[in-house]
Amino acid sequence: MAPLLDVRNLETHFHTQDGVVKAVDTVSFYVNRGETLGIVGESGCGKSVTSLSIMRLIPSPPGKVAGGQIFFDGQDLLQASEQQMRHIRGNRIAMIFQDPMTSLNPVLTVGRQITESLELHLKLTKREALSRAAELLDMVGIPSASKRLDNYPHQFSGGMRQRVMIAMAISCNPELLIADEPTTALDVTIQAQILELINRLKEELDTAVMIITHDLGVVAGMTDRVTVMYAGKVVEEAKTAELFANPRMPYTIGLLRSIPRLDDGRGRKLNPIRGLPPSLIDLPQLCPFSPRCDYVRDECLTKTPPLRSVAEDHRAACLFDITMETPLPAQKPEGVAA
Amino acid sequence: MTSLPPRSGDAANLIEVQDLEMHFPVTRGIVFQRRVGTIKAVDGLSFSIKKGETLGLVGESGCGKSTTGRAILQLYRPTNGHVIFEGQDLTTLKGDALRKMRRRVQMIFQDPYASLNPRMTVGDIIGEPIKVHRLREGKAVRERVDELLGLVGLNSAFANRYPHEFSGGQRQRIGIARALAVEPQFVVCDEPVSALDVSIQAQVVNLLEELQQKLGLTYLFIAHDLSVVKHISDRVAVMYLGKIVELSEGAKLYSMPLHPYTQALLSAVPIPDPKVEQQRRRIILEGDVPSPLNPPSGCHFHTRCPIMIPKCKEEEPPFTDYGDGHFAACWRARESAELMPTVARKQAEAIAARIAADIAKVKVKSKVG
Repeated sequence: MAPLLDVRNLETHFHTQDGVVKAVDTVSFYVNRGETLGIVGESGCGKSVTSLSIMRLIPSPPGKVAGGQIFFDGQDLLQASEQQMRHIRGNRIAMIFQDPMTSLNPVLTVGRQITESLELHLKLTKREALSRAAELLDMVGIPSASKRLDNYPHQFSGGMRQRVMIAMAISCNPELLIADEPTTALDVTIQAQILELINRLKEELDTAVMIITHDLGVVAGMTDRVTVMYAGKVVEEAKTAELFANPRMPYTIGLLRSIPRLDDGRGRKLNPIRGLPPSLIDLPQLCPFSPRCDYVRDECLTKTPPLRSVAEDHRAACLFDITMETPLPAQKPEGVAA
Repeated sequence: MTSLPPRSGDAANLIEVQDLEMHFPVTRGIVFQRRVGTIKAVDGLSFSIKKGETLGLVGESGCGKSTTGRAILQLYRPTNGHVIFEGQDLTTLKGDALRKMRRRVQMIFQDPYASLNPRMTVGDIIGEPIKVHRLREGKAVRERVDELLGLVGLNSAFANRYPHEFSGGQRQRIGIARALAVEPQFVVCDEPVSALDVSIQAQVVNLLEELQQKLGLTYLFIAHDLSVVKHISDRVAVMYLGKIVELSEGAKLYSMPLHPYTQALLSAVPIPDPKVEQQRRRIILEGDVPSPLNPPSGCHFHTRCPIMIPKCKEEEPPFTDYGDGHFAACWRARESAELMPTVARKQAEAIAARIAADIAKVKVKSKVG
């Protein structure tokens, strides 16, 4: 069966005074129906721009989707008219944003904000929409839901606002739910509540979920497959279990080694990735990770490594077969990093 | 509240906090401000930190952990309690004596973007405390700045640049250099890595550890990330609504937590390993942290506690030593370790039942195209 979402060679550029920022550079990935895909990367790696490109919400100017195709259920979203997009956005693809404080409209009641899409997409009457909105708030675990429809966003706590956002997102039973750092702004006990909620709704509604995060812990617990992004490119993709057991891109290996784990003993020295992510303006034709890579060789500086198959259902953008077991080269170059 | 005279404690302790309270008034009205309530941000904390030790302080936002750090350094003057540093009660110091003391205790701030003056060069930012405290004169100031930049892993040529030219991780290094400029003994690190990217966090954590070894520093490390706190701390204190609910040697707190809040907090942290994640059962706490303006009676945690008994509502549990300096404030501390897994199992069952029920409901709804 064809995947629900199939992104092929997506390129999104931003035109700035200093030059063209290739925020997303020939990115390809897919999401199957009912599946959860994790997109991992640090800030500025292009993961949020990818999701905004799918929704066709890139502000233009300065941004522009410069190339590629985004097939959603067989239809190329980049060719769709604005009217067709309106029918898809919020209805068939919905999005949960990172910051529940700023992504709700402060001057409308939450009831109004939820019923808006119900009336528009599902053609419900006002009364039907309100009763459905109460059902939705109840579904996402907001106590005495029908009473809270008349409340404004400021009357809710951060976790509750994120629940309202989720209620809005699932209101039209979307086929694909894009969650862009859904728990980053929340405390850890609230994060557990929200992740549990997304998992439960995914099962109930049989929705495909694309979860964008920098937290490898969230990815480990939530996803079926993972795509790792670095400097606007996909650098590794595999099934979640495979990626964590056998990472093949030095960036992924570095990330896994650099984070402290709750189940670690004390005293294990962290191995940070040295240096900083590169600027995305005029990225030269070399491996974008090479300045920070412990395993760098001369070949890395001659061309951008393509994403190649390294194992079954596992692709990595590294020219060499490097694994967690590969010994570090003897000379450890000094850098800014301590 | 209690106002005991400062006790002379253990000589190995660099800093002793006794019954620290920090209350903020809530007022209404513009000209005549009526006091309508009190936020008890920090409500009776007692702990000590040994020389060369790192005490981790964890808790969710709004639990009062940053306020604790600031009240210890006298950036807020505490409402009550004592902070004994090297035999001196900091809460009684004023004017010049207070300024002199500030040389010994410093702070590293959370936000590397807001805590550096954008109009000053890096050299001026780091040099200012040296000049204020007259630690060096003339050219020697600049030499010391270069030395400090080297210490935190930055090029000394950066001294003439402005903060906006640096990344978050580099700025945090500048903030650390500024804190170390006055040769402090005690440093409060207030969420020093939370604003940084994952790959940069480890760089700064390692730097803080190296500096501690090199300079013999003592840290109070405040953070909400339990994994980072576990990594860096010798002992860890868990805060909830202005109180410490559990305090213990780090490894023990994580392996054998006594307080249900600690247990829930630990179970909520995702571990970056799918195999481990599949086996784990989370304890999901209902609801949000209550408002510190009107905290619950008895044990502050009883409104969210899954193993609450009637006594919790009425009486505040004492902060008791359960052996080897493992303190907890819970009436059911001895049994909680046995009770909580059952809670987690029941929650998982309830969720599964809810999914089954909801699926039936959802299937009825048809979609209008």
